[in-house]
Amino acid sequence: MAGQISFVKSLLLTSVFAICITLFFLGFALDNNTSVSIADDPNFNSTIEKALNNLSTYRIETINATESFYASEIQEGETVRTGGQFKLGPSTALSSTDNVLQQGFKSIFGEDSEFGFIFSTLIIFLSFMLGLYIWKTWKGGLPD
Amino acid sequence: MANLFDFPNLTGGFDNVFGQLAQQTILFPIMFLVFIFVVIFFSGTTSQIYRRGDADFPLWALVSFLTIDLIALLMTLSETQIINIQVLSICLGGTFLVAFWFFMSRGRFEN
Repeated sequence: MAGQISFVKSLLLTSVFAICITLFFLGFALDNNTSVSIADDPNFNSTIEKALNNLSTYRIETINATESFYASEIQEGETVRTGGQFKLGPSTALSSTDNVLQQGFKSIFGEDSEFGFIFSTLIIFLSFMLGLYIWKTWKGGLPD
Repeated sequence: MANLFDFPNLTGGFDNVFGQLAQQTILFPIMFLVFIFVVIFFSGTTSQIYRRGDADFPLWALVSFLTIDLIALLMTLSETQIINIQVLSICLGGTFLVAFWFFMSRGRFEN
């Protein structure tokens, strides 16, 4: 299976897609003055705001980490000592997808559903995968 | 003899018939959406299996969900309420989950 770059790309595309679809729904309801509008559901609005905040945080973290990466030098072995760009940023991408998926689950199963364990298991598994990818990339593998 | 449902009539015009129908049987628009989803999903995957031997299930699930999203949006245009906010949010939430599945599956279909 593909590596860290593909994984983070998937996470980012999920949240970007979800934000775009929700904005389209909101725009449609606003333009056509519909009787039923997704804006009446308060959860979707807050989810999109959180996802947008996550994405802007990810952007700031990535820029900061990349700049420090440019300024770094390799002191021992063939890898960056602190981990740098490989570690910072991807977990924020995961948070963005986390918010989007949580909204998806809540809209289908309800707020306090017992099926929430499915969602927690999925997020735990994604974090586990992300950790291993970061480790593999950091110790010298291909980030692809 | 009392009827189980009130039959729709053409007093309000042809487009009102569907609205009256939806008000009498609330499940009808939902079943219609599920029908569209199932037709697109199964026809797409089956024809792809015949052509290529393997079907891209996440892709077809996403295409089906996007189609019912648009049909649900069109249903919200009516003055007589055909679907309610729960159905719309389930369509949107389902699209989120299936989109996640789709983007995570891309590694398998790239060379």
